[in-house]
Amino acid sequence: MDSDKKKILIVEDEIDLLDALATALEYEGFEALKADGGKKGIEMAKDERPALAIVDISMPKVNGIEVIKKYKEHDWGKDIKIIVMTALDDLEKMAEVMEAGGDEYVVKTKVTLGDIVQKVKDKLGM
Amino acid sequence: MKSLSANLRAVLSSLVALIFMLGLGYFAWTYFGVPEEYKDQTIIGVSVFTMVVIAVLVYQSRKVYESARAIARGMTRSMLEESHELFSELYRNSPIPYLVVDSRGIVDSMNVASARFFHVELNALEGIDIFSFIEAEDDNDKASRIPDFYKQEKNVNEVVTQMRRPDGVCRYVLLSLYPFRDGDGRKRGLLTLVDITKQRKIDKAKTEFVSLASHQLRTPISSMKWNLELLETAMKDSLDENQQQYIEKMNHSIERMDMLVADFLNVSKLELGTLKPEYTQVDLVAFVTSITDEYQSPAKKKNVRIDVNWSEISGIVITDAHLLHMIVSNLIGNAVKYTPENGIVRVEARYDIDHVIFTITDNGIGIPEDEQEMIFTKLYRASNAKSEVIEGTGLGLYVVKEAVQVLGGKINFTSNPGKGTTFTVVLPK
Repeated sequence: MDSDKKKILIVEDEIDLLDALATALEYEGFEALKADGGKKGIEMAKDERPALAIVDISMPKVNGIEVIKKYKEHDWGKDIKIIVMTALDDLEKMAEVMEAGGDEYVVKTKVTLGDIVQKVKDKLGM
Repeated sequence: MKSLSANLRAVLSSLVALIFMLGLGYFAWTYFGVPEEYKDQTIIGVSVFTMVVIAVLVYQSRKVYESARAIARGMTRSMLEESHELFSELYRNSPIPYLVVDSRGIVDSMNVASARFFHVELNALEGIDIFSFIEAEDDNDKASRIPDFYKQEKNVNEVVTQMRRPDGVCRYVLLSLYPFRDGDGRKRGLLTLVDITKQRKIDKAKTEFVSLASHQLRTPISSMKWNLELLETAMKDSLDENQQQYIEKMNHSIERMDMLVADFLNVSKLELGTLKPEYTQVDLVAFVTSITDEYQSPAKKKNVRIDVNWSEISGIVITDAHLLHMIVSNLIGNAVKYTPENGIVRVEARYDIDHVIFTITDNGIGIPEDEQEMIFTKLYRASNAKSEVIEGTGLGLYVVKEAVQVLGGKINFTSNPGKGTTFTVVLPK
């Protein structure tokens, strides 16, 4: 594992989207970590200490807002930059998301992979 | 006691007798004269007679008055009894749950429908605090303030809340509470409940269906979009012209499908009536900036510039984020779509005292004058829009107008065919 590569954790329960995001990030030189649910997203953040997490809002059992809150409650998570992914139907939760600690949000159906990768680079000052 | 008519007859008779005697006396005095030595006695006699008749008249009139009063009292009592009987029947047998509470909210009485609603015997709740059954969601919930409103003798009109019955079951209701004073001046309240649990379940089912459809349809659309992007990136150096065109067409179709799904879901929400505004605090600049960011990619493809001016706005507004997104997103999307290459779209927002005002201007194809009346009609696309831009459902502006109305705002536009269009939306903040 190349230790210079920045770790980006993707927390998304839809496998197709998870894989597509991971591929795009790896193509740009990042190390993509995949968590297919909120619970795994919390565990992997604690173990891997990524620089940034891309977190989907609407996941069953443990949703994105709970994941973000857990990150912010602990030393291992409070410095992780967070890009929130949402569908258009989650917009009313945005205020709650940003209050919980989200840094930015993107609407899944409106944004390209290139846009997301660029936002990751911007957030990491690259 | 003599009847009113008998007393009235007595009064009339006395009056007639008085007038007759006075008239007769005057006639005799005038035509026959009264000897000088009898004039004084005559005057005294007439005066005494007149006073006696007047006294009789006053007495009779008083009798008339008392009779009339007694009749009126009788009538009033009868009307009151009838009215009370009618109210009691209405109260007891109404299909709407009614309860009467005292100044503290303790149940004084209840009707059959309220016993049915609470699943108890009639009168089982007497002596119990009605407010203890209210299940407010939190301290900010309007329902939690009902006891305070009642204390201040304010009407509570159709507040949506849950009531937990003694058997533990919760029901959604429209609760109204009207304070009044009873005959002894004591404060009372009339509480009514309309059970809306069934309607809530139906609304919730509709909303869940639309939400599920939205999520289930949009996920594969996102997946197709992103995987096609990966394919393009992976093969960018090896695609021939035809293959690039195929990919371009696939991208177009995916965008069109995404637009269709968004429009149909929005229209479904509007027409199912599930689109009730949910007001939250929205950081306006951040929110609207993210919407313009959504359209930077399609704008860049046509070398269309999106200029934004938020300099006059800042801070939080209270609005429905979903509806605001529908409005701003559709208008900016349309502006970008109908502006040809190298064009400009300007997006501005400003405040006045009570409103936030959005202006979206493009230098695009405009709307023909004879079609401008129709553009907010569902499924309508202007003729030049159809001929110059293939994609479009004709639902975008219909959705915008409906969303603006739901938020209590206004929308209007000016347009010059071939020169561009400006939409102005005024929304309460």
